[in-house]
Amino acid sequence: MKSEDDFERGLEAINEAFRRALPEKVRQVEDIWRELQAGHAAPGTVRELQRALHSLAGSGRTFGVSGLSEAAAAAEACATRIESGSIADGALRSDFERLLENVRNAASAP
Amino acid sequence: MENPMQALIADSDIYALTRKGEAQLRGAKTTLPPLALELLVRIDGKANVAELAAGMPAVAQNQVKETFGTLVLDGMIELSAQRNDALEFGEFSGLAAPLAPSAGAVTRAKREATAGVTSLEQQGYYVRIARQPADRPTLPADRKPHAVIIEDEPHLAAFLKHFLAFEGFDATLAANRDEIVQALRQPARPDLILLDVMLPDADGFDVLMKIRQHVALRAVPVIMLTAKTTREAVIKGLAGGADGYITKPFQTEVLVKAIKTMFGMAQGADRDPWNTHEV
Repeated sequence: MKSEDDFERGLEAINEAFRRALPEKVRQVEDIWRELQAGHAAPGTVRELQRALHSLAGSGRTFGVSGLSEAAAAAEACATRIESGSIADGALRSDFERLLENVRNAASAP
Repeated sequence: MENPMQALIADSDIYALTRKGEAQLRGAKTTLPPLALELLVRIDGKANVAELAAGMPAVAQNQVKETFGTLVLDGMIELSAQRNDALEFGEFSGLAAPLAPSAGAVTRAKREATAGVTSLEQQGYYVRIARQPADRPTLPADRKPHAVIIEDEPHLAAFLKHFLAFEGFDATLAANRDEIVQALRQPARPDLILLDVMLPDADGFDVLMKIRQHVALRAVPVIMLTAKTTREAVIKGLAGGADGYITKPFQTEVLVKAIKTMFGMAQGADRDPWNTHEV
């Protein structure tokens, strides 16, 4: 059985690993979004975008990254609207851009 | 009013008529609306919901699914055994007769989901342990309890494993379909399954259904652990046989308390009777 100290150290290591991986996770969302905007994304790309955001929404607060879960959940909901609407919809695009900016900010907050 | 079963009907579901459905179809008189009757005629235990819906002239998908749901609730149709073939867990042996949620389970799940969504709005997460006292699992005395964590976010998976290890569990991680099949085919039956819903190549609700259909796994406690926080998703999980539904992001003490409650390990203030646990 691990001691409390071992447990806390392990937890801290996982938290740190998550924070280190965050920029890459956000970059992944941005890459998918760019691909979609370029207009030649493969089928299922919007789903990929939703999944990447869903993953951030489901994990951010657990790892103590303030505001990330909420920002990612809002962007995920917008991605769902994109799926049922159109990527050419300017208002939807700017909505998503704004929400993505919130995700970036939350992910890079100290 | 929304039909709660609508959310439970998947495109890939294959249904067959029950005796009651057969009797309704062959009876001299019927009180069923035309769409329900049309579906009863078409349901053959082979075509899935999507195929049947596509063959219905000028009827909206959701209307067809709602009617499917009503027919299930009325006991006219049931999930067909062929659904097992339609799902892609071919290596997942030991399947028993498929289970459809009972009307009572759906009603309970609907009530719990309503409470859950309210709780979610207030607190940001929701836990419900739905298993009845008689089904409470007992931890084996001679070995560590074994948990399977089905989660594709690697940090969250590691985090859960770390927590469970501290609580005395051996844990196996599974992040995709192949790993799920491999983890669940191990000779030692797991004592607990934590199940994410949105996986890269599998749907957690389908996995839950396969678990509940499996002879050796059907009684294993399953806690859905998911960022899918809609009322429909909670209904789907609980009516599908999940023992608990914890929305992500979660607080770790909430999860630990839920697991301890499930295994009767909770002490003092953590002690909580079955079927009333809401954190």
